[in-house]
Amino acid sequence: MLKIYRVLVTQSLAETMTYRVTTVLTALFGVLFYAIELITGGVYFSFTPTIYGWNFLDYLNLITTANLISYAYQFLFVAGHEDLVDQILDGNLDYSLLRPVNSYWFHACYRVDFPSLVTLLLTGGIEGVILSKLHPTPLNLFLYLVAVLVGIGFVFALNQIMVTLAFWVDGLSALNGLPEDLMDASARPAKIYPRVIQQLFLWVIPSLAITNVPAQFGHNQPTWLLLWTALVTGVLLVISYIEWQRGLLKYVSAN
Amino acid sequence: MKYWLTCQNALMATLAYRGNLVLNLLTTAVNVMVTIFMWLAVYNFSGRSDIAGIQPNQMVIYLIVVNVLALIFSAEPIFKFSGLVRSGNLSVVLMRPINYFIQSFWDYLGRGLPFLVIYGLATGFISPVFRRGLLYALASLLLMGLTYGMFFLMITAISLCSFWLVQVWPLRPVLSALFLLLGGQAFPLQVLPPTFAWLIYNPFSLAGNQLTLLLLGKLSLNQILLAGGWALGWAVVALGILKIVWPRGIRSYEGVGS
Repeated sequence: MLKIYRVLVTQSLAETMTYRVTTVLTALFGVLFYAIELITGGVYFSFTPTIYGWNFLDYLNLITTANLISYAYQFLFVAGHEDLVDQILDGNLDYSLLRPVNSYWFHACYRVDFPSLVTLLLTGGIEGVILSKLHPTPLNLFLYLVAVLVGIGFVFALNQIMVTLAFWVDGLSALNGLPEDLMDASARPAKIYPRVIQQLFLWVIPSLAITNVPAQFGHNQPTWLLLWTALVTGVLLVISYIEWQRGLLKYVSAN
Repeated sequence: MKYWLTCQNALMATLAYRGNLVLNLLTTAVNVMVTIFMWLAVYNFSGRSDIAGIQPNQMVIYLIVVNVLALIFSAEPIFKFSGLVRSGNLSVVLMRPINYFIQSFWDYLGRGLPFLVIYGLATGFISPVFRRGLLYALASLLLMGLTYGMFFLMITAISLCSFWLVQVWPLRPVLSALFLLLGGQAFPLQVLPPTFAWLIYNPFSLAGNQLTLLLLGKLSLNQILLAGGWALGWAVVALGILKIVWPRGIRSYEGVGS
């Protein structure tokens, strides 16, 4: 499996080098929107030193962690997911289904998106600086990294579930953007939302927990919510796998 | 009449994909809610009832209206024109007994009509614009019309780069970012330090920030006239660019695919 993944990564790199200008522009836009978030955060905190106990550095930690999760997902899976919708709708899955590989993981890891690696490394570097100022204990730092990994798994599972819906739903392209919108909306301190919204997105669809939990570990406020987010992510991954298998039964080849 | 049909078709195209329209509106609504909750928290913790002359309830209306305006002032004509140039179908359009720019304007109007109706209703029912005398109402309507025309001309002028660029998709995130930051979609430009005051007369701010403040009744007659003057100025600049660049673009256009 690792050998196949290495080949897929090499192919992705070759494609990236073919579209160099696109790569540079995509990376630049990632930086641009991150900069806008920083400026907007700066505007908020120019009127008050803290919001629900979060100071500007904590807020930076939160949005940078949220961006880190988002860019890591984009680097590892977004190109595969974009390709998968077309493959399902065009009925072109035959070749991968015939291969002696797990088709779920083959399509999920079909391509890596190298332009996102630039923004991933940049936000990773900035997060490193922020964490060095927040001084988390080694245990909290370790749990921060675990929480980020759980976050990447959560975003992957949500997107996988949406993309696989293409087996049943055609022409609702905006549906695929929902997980991204949900994660964008979750890149804020949970406490700014009314209690009902907080409970819904901390416990039922824990997108707020996914962004807030690692940020809390970052500033030495451990939380048991990490266990819950890990459990929900596991369940979502299982659901996406079952959905994939059901979808394959619905699949009609166009070859 | 022939252009009115274009407007109707564009409106039908917007309404035909209802699923996508509803999801796009839902996405916008979620983004607006996030920003509203963040600002309400800022008001709450700063202990201020007024930030840059805007009260919390006015900030809520501001954020809703500026996001509706972001939907009205789309950059779609750029990508439509780029498609025509790249496919060579511009040749077919040029041979028709129509003015492409006028047709494009009516298309723009039709696509944004549902959102224009929302802005119009908000202006009619929430805004004090029509309760401040005839002169104020007329000046406000003039500013709205001028800004709408100016923004369309500016987007059309930008679209002419399609004659020389193979891919124009990078303009989409750039223009979104400009509207967010310079248009006052992320936050009202008035909250910035006074050294940035000159920013409010950029084309994006006129379309987003100024038209929203107009609806909130925050602009004096003098400010309306000043904003109108700037909109007219930008419109003249865009028109000048169109006049100069269009003939050169047509000369370099190869009509591939026609």
